[in-house]
Amino acid sequence: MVATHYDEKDGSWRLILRPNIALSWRQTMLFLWCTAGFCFFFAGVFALLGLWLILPFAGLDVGLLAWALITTAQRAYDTEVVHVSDSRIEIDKGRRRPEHHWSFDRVWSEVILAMPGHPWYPTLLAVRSRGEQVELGKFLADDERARVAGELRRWIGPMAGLGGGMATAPEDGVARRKA
Amino acid sequence: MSTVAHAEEAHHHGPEPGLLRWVFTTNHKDIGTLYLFFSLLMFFVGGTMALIVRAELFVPGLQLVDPYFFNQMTTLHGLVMIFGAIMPGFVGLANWQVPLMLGAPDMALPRLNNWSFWILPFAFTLLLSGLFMPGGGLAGGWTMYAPLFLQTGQAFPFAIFAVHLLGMSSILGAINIISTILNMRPPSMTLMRMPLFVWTWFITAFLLLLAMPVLAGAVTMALTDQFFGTFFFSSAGGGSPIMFQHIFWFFGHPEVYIMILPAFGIASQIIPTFARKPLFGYASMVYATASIAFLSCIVYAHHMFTVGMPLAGELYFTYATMLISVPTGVKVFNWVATMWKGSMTFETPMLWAISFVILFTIGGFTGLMMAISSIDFHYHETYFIVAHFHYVLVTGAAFGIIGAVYYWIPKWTGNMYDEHLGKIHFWLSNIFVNLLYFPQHFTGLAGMPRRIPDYAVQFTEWNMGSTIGAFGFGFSQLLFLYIIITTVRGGEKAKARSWEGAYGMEWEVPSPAPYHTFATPPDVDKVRLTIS
Repeated sequence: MVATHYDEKDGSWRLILRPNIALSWRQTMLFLWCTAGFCFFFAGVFALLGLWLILPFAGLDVGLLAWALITTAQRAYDTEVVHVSDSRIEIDKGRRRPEHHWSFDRVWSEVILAMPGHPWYPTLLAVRSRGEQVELGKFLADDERARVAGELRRWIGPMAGLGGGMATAPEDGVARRKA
Repeated sequence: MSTVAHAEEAHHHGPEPGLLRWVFTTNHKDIGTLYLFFSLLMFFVGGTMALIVRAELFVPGLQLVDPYFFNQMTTLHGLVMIFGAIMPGFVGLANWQVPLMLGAPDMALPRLNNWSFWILPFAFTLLLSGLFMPGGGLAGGWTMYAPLFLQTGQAFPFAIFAVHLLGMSSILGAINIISTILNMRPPSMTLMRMPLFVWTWFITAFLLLLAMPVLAGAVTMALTDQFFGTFFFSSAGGGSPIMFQHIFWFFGHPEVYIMILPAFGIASQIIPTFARKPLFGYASMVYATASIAFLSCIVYAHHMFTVGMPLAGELYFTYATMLISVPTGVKVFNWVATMWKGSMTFETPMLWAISFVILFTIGGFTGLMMAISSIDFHYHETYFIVAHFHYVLVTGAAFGIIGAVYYWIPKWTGNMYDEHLGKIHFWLSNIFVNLLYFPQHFTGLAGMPRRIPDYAVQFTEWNMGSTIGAFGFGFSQLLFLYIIITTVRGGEKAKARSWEGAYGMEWEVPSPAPYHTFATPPDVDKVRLTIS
């Protein structure tokens, strides 16, 4: 998923990239509670009949399921933020909070969209500046990466610097809202 | 720092060279392959045990093995086939196919996936090592009924630990499949667009989560009865041996559906492909599968009609069990309706799928007979039961797996199997499997008890037929092994869409499927998911 934010105060753009996760957090919790309810209901009935040793195994079972679902659902919080201001490009990556940060000179940066050697491999999107490269949107689909590359190329690179101001509205097809 | 360089490496990353690839792999295709080969190995191990049983039963009297060893063979044959052959076979298929059919890059928890496979060889080493211990291996039947089960020799704690490991492997696999299906679907792959095989596995995984802790609890209580002075299943201390049967079958009946639901999914993939028609009643198939799973949890006591239960209980379990025939009937009619007026061709996978539908239905009908508690008293503990569950589990579950292997092996290996040999394998298997199991209906109805090494002379002819069928069926599977090996090694190159009528995500990638597929979410809307 790609979202674009425009900050009217300083005229900067922010691009937010997130992976697709099929199930929302609420749906995940609903599924987990329903499964836990089933397991504990039957284990509880057996416990009432004196066969209490089923309960700890049911607990282990549900605990493992909870761990697995929460771990995979956490991936929904993987976020990449590209903040393009007048002179700088700030890139943050992390889960729930920024964990890695890069800062590049906007004029001396370029956007790379590398085509793979074979069609069954994905394309590769990166921002490069002074020998340092940061891959972006690894979790996006190819066409999403192409759209993101198109947007970034409007804002980043020597031509953007020569123009003076920021690029105008991004291409159609990318989700956006004004900040 | 250059993250791009790492990404480029990853894009062209293939399997690690050497044997350690198979130990450390987290790739769903590698792990699927491991599961499938393990399942095949266990199929031959369990099959050899079955041949020992059938050889002993060729004529009345004791010929080849002593009765205690005979009991060990029947017991271990059941455990090996259920936990070693059928379940890992389906998990192998799920590993290969679920991510491919969804358009996901891998399973949601790849390291856990590796672990759940590698538990299995250790578990079976423990289980089978009992054969060489003082007192021999398990001999009380695969149901492990206490207190008989407690009379096992030194193999007893090893068997308990093995069952725990097998349960752990199953639960980890189920959790991984649920997480993958819930979280790894690409955009537009909604639940009601998922292929039926994925749906049936999703519901199966749910059943596994429900059933496995009950088995673990049951065998643990047997363990504490033996070693820690508890009396869960001993009436001497206020416990109840019948309670073991209750909790065992609370696990055991969903287990039956754990072993058949994925086969339903396989038939639902193969039949539309070779009938060149979309599956009839997709939504009803999904709801029928869910209904069967739900009902499987509330009918278990039909396995124990004869233990003595209140009339109301007998009636409830009779009617509830018969109710399962409704959603199962929906499935069978939908498969038939899919074939109706289709442009049918009869390649080997289709032959197995049709055979599955017919022979599983026979097993289903005999199951319906046993659901009637009043007449189940006559069938109980006879060869009629043996015939019934082998029609369900061999011509149902195992045939489903074999059909799936023929259907998807071009995608896995990039090579087409030898169609001529595939058909010979099909016909040999089908002739011999019916010669093996169909006569057991007659001997059972005539009163031949199961789990005995000797029998009355009037059952001789049918038993001879069964034994000939067993050896014929068993040796026919060597041809299956030969076909697999030759297909892996070479053969006519398979196209991406290996079958004319095959549609879905897995047929969009080349054959053989690249080591990494769908590294980015595909656009499902651009893919034709069904033949319609």
